[in-house]
Amino acid sequence: MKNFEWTSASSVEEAIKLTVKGAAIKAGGVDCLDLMKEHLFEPTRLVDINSIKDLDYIKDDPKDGAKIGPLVTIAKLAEDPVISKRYPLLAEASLRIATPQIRNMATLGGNLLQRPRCWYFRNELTFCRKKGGEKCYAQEGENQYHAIFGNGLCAIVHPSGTATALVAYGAKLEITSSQGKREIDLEKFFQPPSVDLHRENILQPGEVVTEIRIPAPPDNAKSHYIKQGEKESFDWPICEIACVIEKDGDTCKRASIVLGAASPVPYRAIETEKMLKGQKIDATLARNAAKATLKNATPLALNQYKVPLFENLMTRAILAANS
Amino acid sequence: MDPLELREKIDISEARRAERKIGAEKFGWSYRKPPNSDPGPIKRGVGLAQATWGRNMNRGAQCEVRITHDGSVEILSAVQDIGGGIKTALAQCVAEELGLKATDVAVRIGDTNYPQGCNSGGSVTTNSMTPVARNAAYGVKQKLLEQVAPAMGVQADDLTMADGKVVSKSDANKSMSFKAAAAKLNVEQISAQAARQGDFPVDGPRGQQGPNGLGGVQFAEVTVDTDTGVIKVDRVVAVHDCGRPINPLGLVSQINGGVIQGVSYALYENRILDRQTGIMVNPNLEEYKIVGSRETPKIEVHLIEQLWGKSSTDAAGIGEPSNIATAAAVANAVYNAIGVRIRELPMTPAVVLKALSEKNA
Repeated sequence: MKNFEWTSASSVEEAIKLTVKGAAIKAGGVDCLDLMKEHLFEPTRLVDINSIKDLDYIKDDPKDGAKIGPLVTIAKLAEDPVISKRYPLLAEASLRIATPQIRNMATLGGNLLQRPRCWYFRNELTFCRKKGGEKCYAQEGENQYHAIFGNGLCAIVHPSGTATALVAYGAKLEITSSQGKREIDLEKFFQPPSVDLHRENILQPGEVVTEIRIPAPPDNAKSHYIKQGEKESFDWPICEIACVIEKDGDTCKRASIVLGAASPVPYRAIETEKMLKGQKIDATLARNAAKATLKNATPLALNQYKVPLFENLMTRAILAANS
Repeated sequence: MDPLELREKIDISEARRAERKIGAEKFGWSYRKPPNSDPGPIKRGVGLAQATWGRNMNRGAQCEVRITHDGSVEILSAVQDIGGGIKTALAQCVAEELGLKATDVAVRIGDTNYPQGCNSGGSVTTNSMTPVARNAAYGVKQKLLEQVAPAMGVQADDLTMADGKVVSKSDANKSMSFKAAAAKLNVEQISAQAARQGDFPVDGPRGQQGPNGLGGVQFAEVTVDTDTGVIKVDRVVAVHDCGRPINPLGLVSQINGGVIQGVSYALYENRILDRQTGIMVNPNLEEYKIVGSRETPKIEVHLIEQLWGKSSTDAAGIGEPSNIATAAAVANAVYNAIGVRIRELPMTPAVVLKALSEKNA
């Protein structure tokens, strides 16, 4: 690890000022430390924002929805009664992240901004396309955990479990810079390799995520979250589904289904959503709707198993959210 | 043919026969259904497998036992404890011979200045070390008894040591505490050494004892989700023999460990080398997967004693034998659940889903 300077910011404004060229913002420090140890990220200065007061709140309004500070820990999200009751996808996704130790340190902001876990990206010996090299090693390599959608240039999967849940809820981010504040859909915040190979989101140097906003859920919406790992304790997902079904009587008024561990960004199952909209959901429709999205999958040599896996678990999630 | 019946026909080991009988009963083997019996996507299955292992020992193993004037007792050997619990076993063997408690014995190991120990490998430690501990303790005991016999007015061979005392076998009124006996020593310290070399006959070039060795039988119950390919090992019954169990609590714990590691081999562990660069892509505990607390099955251990008269403790190792059968038992249980043979480890969701799709094709 290279030497670096440590500074603490007492306000967002100060954090932005301290984040000069070569500096980086640190919240929980979980991914930061991993990246620095592997020489993937060598900041000259770390700006610790834990010293900023009032960035770890959870507020909820029946009409306006939730407002969450970026320093709220994953552990707190997992056990917060309001989040569990009103935004269960987020609570369940949080509960299934990593280990209790990591959940106690990791923040929501950091979870959304963490870099991908692709083992070629993480290994300092493989200079892959994402790091400025010539090729994506996963294309012809060990790609069992890689993407089945949008994987042509770079086959990472988006690592954030909370992102899968939050995109399904239509969450927005507030971003603060020296120019002021702006709000953006979380779904548009993430960007695929075809837009920018080297970054997974639009956040620019000097910008800070200052709030996560979730619209109030409609009264007649139900949801279901599935994280499927090869093992249950401490593992990354091989398939993740966040599913919201809003109903009008017996029919599905609107479905929002987002897949994790599937593509370089949280992947909205648009074809599935279209097929469910306005229909009465049964087991056959649920399966056919899941198939419709997976028709577009472009699996690699070793991750073809993910196609039936996603189909089966999407079917389960739709039926569970519909019941 | 029922897998249990097959083994009854072809396996000559009496110990395995006894273990199969106990295991089948405790596990409920008779409730086994034909392969692929469950109608839904979640399928349950049971399987069994057996293990044999050499009753191995290291003939270089030595130790020294000392009794000091102040009544303290020490055992010294260069053997090391990598988690098998030999420290406790050595204290137990010396204490039993001297009529003391295990906590009265100071165990000094892991230093090459002490008498040569044995390697940690091949499950040899308990078999190699406990007999020399007992023999050296016996040797130093004789020296102590010879020194205190005149003061007690008896011959040394009339004396025994039990419950922290030196007692006359012919007259129970003649007794002396161990500490008082040690205080009668005419030197500061007495000691005796013992070695496995030339101790008991061996049957192989590397110290094997017995033609069929030791081993065990394990039964596993699994749940396979055919939608996801995920296997969960719910329960393992492990029945083992390893000569005379010295520390049954530690022994059961080692078998638990063997089973847990066996589940890890069966389902998770894989060193993945990149086919293009040769780099290991999962060289950390994030990507190199090992069994965790949620993947640990309910484990039930039963022990049988198979005594061979091959050493002064007749103890043998358990580290490796406890680990051999697990993955095979799990794989057999997976076959019973889904009706497809999987011949590749680890049995990951990718492997299981591929096997299922080939069956359905």
